[in-house]
Amino acid sequence: MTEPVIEHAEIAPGHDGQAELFLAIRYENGALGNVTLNAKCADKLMRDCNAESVAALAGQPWQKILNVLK
Amino acid sequence: MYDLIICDGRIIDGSGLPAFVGDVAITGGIISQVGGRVTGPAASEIDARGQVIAPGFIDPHTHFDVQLLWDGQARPSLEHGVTTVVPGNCSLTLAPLKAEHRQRLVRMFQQIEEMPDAAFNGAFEWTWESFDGYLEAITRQLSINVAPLVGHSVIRLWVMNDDAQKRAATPDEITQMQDLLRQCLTAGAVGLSTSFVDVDHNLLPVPSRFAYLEEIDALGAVLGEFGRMLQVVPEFYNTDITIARVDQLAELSIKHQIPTTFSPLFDSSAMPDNVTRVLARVDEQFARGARVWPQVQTRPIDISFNFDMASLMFAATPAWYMVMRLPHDQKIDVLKNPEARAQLIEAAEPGGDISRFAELRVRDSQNPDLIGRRLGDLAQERQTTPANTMIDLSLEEDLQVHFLAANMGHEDPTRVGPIIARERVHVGASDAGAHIQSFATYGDTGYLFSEFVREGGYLSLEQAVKKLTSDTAQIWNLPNRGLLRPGQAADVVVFDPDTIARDEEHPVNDMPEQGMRYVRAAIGIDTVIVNGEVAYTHANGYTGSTSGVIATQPVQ
Repeated sequence: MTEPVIEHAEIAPGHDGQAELFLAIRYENGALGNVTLNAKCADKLMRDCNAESVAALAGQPWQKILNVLK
Repeated sequence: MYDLIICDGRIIDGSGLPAFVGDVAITGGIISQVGGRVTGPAASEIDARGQVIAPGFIDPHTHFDVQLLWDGQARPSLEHGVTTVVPGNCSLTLAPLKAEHRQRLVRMFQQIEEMPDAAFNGAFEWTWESFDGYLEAITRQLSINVAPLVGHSVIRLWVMNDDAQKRAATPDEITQMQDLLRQCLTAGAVGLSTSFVDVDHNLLPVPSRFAYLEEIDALGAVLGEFGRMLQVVPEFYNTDITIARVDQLAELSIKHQIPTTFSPLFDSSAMPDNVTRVLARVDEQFARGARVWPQVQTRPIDISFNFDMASLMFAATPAWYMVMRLPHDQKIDVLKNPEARAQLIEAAEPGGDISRFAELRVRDSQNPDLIGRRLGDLAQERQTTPANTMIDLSLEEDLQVHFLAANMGHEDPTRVGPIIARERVHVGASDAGAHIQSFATYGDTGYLFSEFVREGGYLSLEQAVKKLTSDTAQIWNLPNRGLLRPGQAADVVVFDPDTIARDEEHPVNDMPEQGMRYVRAAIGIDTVIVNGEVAYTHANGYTGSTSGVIATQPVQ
């Protein structure tokens, strides 16, 4: 592994209870972290990854996440 | 002579002490007697036999900032027994705000709190820039009490203009922010709200997120001069960072002798040990003398969606999300195409497993008979599957049918009940007034009683009332509220303990320009009294009373 990757993605409640995208990220040292994207960012991420469903985000590099947050 | 006597009810005074039967008398907006049989003439009486007489409920996390400008009753919160609301959470408020920043702030509100444009433009006249000017604007027709926060993001905007979303503040700018916060607190603000999470309509972090700790510390010092609250949205999606924020809030609390609170704090399958770990750190910090109150909502997470938007609800089902992204007409063509439709159905109901969509409900439709119905039941009637039913219903109404996915998180009462019952958990985070076109943010108080008192038994009736009244008043330093005691403000709710609940969610068109929002009616609430005036009765509805006040000042 050369850079952090998305290990798992699912729809979860976000700030105030709206649907958001929850991402579990595995880092190079083995640590597991997480981040939540709102609907707008999640949509950009799925488009960038050409993902048909959230399950298809697994294995994507975290650079993709950084790109949608720029 | 008394103004009002509430007779022969089961008095739960908000302290947590056991209920007792008696009368409550009110004179001049103040509670004058509690318990026993009140003798003497009264202008009016309410027969409360078989019902509870309790202090009015206090909702510490709302976004009624704009609604209060045209609806001083904060409907429908008032009819749920809420007599005091705290607007201005999450760093966003309508004051202090320079005229040139108005539309920028409106777009932030729309992005973060999902409020329609019509709510801000045309429904009222912007007559203020200062915080006291805003308070003057809302208090003209106020039925409910308001304890308003001031937003860190707008304070930054006022002082730093465009640089508020570019950089840290200079020492001089921090001093200006301190002066401005001091003015707001003097005018009646209950505290300062800030966010470490939210982004604006351009996905740029809101102004408060550009603050270094020294800025927050300096503003905390001003809060300390007034003993006022710091409200925070932490990085709730990461337990370790949330715990770090708890520690940070604890240091500010101890240093400046201020209360702090944070939300949201959810129980969810995505982070099953999140609440346990965060609350353990909260307990440690309370033991050090800090006040860091986690706000936990009572209701489960419900999410609504329709086929006209590419909702994240479709993102979990392969093939569907790509279709939902298509323009409206193309989307209809695909849904009508038998081959494409068959692929969607197979993705949603693989091998004939209909469980994914069967529990979804129709939330809004032109056909009122459909509203509230399970897709599984409708599918049986139509002799098809839930996914097919969802597509058919959407096509029948040009993709405008709304569906509800209930219990998406925070939904297990055996986990949420013990959390809410904890002494150091602050019941709140209703978010009333926000997300109005996605789900109803009203009735969390009724849900506390129906789900966690009557059904689950996690709290006694007295404990639940205490959570919603005196606990909240003490946490937020609201003088003379939250208890039924002589000398206290006469905020009172009379309710049936055997039936109090929230009703089903439903759409109404009562926003400016006939705008739609989701609401819930109250069940079991008989009478709501604000500062001695009857503001709502189940029999006659809202009375149009205007006895609401800014609740940060002691009652006279």
